Amino acid sequence: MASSTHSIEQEKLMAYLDGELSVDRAALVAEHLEQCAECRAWVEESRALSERLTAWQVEPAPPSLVEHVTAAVPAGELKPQATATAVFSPPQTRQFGLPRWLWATAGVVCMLVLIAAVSIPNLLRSRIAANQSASLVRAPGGGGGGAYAPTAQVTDYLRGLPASAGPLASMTANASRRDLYKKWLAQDASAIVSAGAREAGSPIAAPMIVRTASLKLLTKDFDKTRAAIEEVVQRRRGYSAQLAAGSESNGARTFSANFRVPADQLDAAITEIKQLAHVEQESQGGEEVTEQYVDLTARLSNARRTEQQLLDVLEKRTGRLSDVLEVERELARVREEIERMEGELKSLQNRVSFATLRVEVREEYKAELEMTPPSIGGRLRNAVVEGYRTAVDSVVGLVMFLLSVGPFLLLWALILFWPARYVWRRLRAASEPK
Amino acid sequence: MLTDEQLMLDFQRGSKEAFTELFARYRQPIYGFFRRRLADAARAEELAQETFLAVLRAVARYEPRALFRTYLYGIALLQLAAERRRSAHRVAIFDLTTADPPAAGDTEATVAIRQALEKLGPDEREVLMLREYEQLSYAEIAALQRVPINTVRSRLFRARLALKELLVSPRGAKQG
Repeated sequence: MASSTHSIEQEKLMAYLDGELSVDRAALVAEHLEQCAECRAWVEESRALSERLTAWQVEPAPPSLVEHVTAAVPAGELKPQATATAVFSPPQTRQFGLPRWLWATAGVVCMLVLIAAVSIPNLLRSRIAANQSASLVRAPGGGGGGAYAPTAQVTDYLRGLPASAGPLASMTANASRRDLYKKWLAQDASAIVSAGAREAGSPIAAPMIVRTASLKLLTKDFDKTRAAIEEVVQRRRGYSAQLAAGSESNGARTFSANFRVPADQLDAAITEIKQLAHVEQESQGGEEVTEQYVDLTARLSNARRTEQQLLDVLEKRTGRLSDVLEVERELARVREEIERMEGELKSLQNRVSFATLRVEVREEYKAELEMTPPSIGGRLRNAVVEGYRTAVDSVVGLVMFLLSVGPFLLLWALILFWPARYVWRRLRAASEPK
Repeated sequence: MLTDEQLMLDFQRGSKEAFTELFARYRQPIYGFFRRRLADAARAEELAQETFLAVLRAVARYEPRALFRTYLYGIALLQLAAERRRSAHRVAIFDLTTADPPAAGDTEATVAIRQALEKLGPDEREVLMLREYEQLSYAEIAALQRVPINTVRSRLFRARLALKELLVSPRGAKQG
């Protein structure tokens, strides 16, 4: 077609036919058409095409359409809404490629998976811990052997547990261990007490507590105070385990000592010493070692039984020489263990029966005013070091913050993604008038 | 005679007769809209029904900012787009390969037109159909398809040129 050389484009002719030209332009085109046969022919052709297209007629709409739509017309009054929105946002059935419920389901599934991922490891861990403690509680009742053997094993096992299991498991294990210990105490406390008495030569009536106390004193008459303290300790049948005296840079003398005082005399000794000088600081503490003691006693008794059994085996001497040697080696090992445990037991008893009293005495001394300001160079150097340290600390702190908060932020971003996206789309749709 | 927009506002104020009048005016065009674009007559009826139901549901939000006709065809086009997504696997539009005969009154001329339309690109075909069958103006088509009017005009021009070739060319010109 000769559209390029022609004065009026065919596209304009088409617009003319469609009634889409302004009045004056349409007049121009009409004028041109009267003169130009070629364009008239083109226009006729186009008209014919449109007419031909109308040959595709559609059958009348079925009556059921009328029925359904008429039935759907609301019966009541129509209430116009205050929040009228744009006319050109017809009710949308879908926005994206998938139906909305599918998006919602996907979001819910994502959240469930996340929650499961977070909670399942915790559940598993606590269940494992519960199983372990349950089996441990069952052990002492079912143990048919020696009275203390299972306990010894259990406590040994429990002692090893925290190292291998997580913090949760160790907490549970500790709790169950306490329970176990109480139960077991109730069951054969008397046996243990007598056994303990046999082993160590002293009965356990009350809980065994290792007591410690610490006193800080300030005195004007240093020599007199020191002598008086030593006198008190001696009178209370105590002894000094460690003693040190010296003088501070300003000339004041100091004296510090660790005394061991019989536990029942400790309170009296403290009261007496406190009267000797001005008390700057006082503290007392106690550590219960009953459990440790009972545990040790039981293990000791177990080891003794093993020793006796080994001795019985040796007495029969029916085996080969290598077997005998093996038994003797084992015997030596068990004896060494017994000695070690006896030592531990003794030290424990000693710590219980003798409390530790630490006394620090300082001479009251009028210090001279001494001001030697640090040099400028030293201060500058300190400032530089401080600045460097602050910079490094801030970088490390930032990295640690990101590491500790990153997973948390990621999790919430995932959870909140769908609602946020929904709200965002709603807001955008509302603000867009078209 | 009241305009569509006046009728719609009357309906908004509670006049059911207004809607009945609107429905009477657009029942056949909307049914034809779907009928020409879908092979399945039952689906066409359902979607036409759905379009009017959507108008009913959204009447409270209607504002006479554009022609009611544009509004109505906007809803119809959305319905159509949704339907096409739903049935992406079963090609329902202009499907002449299926054994299902399109309509009882299909003449040879109609089949030729359908085949020719089928050969156009989807954008050009839609513009052409909206112009020829729905009798929409360039501006209305532009608003519905969210394209500039010039784009509508050039698409329409290309579509008509191509259609002329297809229908009037020697191999297609059976009926001069």
